[in-house]
Amino acid sequence: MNKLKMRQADLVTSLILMVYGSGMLFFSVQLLTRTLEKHRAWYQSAGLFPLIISIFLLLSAFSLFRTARKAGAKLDFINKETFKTFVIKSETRSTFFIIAWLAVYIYILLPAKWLSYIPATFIFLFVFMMKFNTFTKSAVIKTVIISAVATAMLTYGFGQLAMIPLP
Amino acid sequence: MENLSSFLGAFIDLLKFDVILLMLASTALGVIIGALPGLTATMGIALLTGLTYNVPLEYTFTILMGVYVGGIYGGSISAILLNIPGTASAAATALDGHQLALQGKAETAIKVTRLASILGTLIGVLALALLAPPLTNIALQFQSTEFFVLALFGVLICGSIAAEDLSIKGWIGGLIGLSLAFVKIDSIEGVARFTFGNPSLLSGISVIPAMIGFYAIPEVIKAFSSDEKLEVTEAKDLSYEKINVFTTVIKKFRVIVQSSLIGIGLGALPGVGEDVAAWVSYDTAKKTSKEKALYGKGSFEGAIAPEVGNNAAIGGATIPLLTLGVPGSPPAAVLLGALTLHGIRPGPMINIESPGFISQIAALILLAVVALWVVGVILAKPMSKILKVPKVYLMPIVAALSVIGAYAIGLSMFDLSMVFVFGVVGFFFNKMAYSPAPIVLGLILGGMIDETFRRSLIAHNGNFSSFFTRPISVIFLALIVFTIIKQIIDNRKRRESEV
Repeated sequence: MNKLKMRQADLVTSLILMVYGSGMLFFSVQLLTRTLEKHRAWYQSAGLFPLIISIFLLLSAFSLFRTARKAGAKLDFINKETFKTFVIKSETRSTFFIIAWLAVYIYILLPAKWLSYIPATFIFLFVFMMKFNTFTKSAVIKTVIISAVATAMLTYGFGQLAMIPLP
Repeated sequence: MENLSSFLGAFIDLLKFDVILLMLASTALGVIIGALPGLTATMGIALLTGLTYNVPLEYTFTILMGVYVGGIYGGSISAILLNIPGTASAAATALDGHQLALQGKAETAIKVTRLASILGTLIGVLALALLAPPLTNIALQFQSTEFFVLALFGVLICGSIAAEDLSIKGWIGGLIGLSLAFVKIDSIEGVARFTFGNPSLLSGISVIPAMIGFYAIPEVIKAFSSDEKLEVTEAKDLSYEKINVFTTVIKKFRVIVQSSLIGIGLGALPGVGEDVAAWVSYDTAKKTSKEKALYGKGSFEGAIAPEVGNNAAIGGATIPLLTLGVPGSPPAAVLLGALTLHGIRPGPMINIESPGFISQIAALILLAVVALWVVGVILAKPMSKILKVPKVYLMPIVAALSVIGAYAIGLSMFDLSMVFVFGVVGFFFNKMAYSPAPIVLGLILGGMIDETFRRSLIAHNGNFSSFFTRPISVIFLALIVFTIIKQIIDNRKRRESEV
């Protein structure tokens, strides 16, 4: 990532951090108020240290924002054109495929009652490997074998050897 | 003397067929994990922590220490053969190591870095065996105030040193880690904090799944975001020049001692660890060398210094881990999780609650050094082939291993969500040059920092005076203030240079 792009990303991050820090500050004050309402000392409150951290987080976010702005970063890079370029990049597509496929494995395949760990993991591995592999007969056979062996090893290693109930 | 005899006694106790065999296998696995780009020692230990959950304590730590020592060394092999460090701690080794490979001295370079790694680990483990027991006695005098300032200093210094881009980013990482540590039932007031009605969050965010997410998943994603093809240099010498490995390394005695001390010192700083130790060792060796001009062009000294430094940091990082419960490096942070899972409470009470445990860990590292020498010889040549394993097959398996490894620890589907969330967040943080080390250290130490801060105030009826009257606390507070001021000045300078 080049310097300007990095600072543009910092600008966005600083805004997210300001929201995150403000939320934390709000809930910390709530916790502190609840402690005081119970007639307990302020220094016993569960909100005390989060309150301090949220203030530091906000200060750091402002500092990051200033650094990014001084380096010439502006929010005008968020437009239709940049979004289009970003979406068609092969790196973006690969990234989103992996994140989505991991989500499918964790939230759909593994918890599914109709599918046990072995087929779920085999499907996950096979699809993942094939997505980034060439579609030739030998590559498919190799992928099937590697996915099956890896699934068997994970099942044996965790399920049998380490005696851990599989998901 | 007593510490040394206890350490040697523990080492002799380990000389059993099953332990030796397990150590050889786990060190070999560590070397392979460390050598494969994208897989790190931290990731390897985190993934194996789940697998060893039901394994007896002695075997568990044989495996984990073997992977730790092997993993830190393994990174140098790919640094030499591929010019891609297998682990971040081997990045400095690539500068001269790969140049040596290009000059046809790949095999000698591997042998030299192996001997350097062995010597570094050995000096580090001696420091651990000799310094850790007396340190626990000193730490027994610590009260909440000292633990608070020490842990806070750890997060701050880790943030300052580990930052890759702006130094403030390291701090932000530490603060985010601390904020994540607050999510659970508060142990002092007994109220749910930032759990938003989710019962899975009442016991807090599990460290190991979070670490697997932060360290493994971003590597899986990154592996497919470039079409880079790896060019592996064969692990054999093409030059006819005969080089005596032992003499080459021993001649650099000054660099070895210097880098070992740097490694132990930086390793002992909370969260800083092997990566920084390697760079500082390389930089210091270069600055103090008589052959400065050779650095970056294939200097054996340039390959020895970082390897001694990062391996000595293993012993250094284990010192605060065992004596104070504060990990000195990211792999040590995972070890802290593993220790807790197996009912060992690291800290000043370790010698009372688990007598002989420090010597046992030191002995395991020593055994790992011996194993490293054996597996290093065996794996040196086939490594060129192992490094050719296509990422298209390797990384999906790492992803599946991350998922099952995280699940194995708590048998909770919620932990899988943690792997996913921290994995995705970790990837974007990685893209924006946020190091995961301060975030993870904040997550680990956040509970301790918050609790000791309030306990100290409770003990003194809300009076802050104890922070300024106890000598150790004053020293660390001064260091904290110095770190903050230095950070602000650095930030200002950087801003000015960028405008």
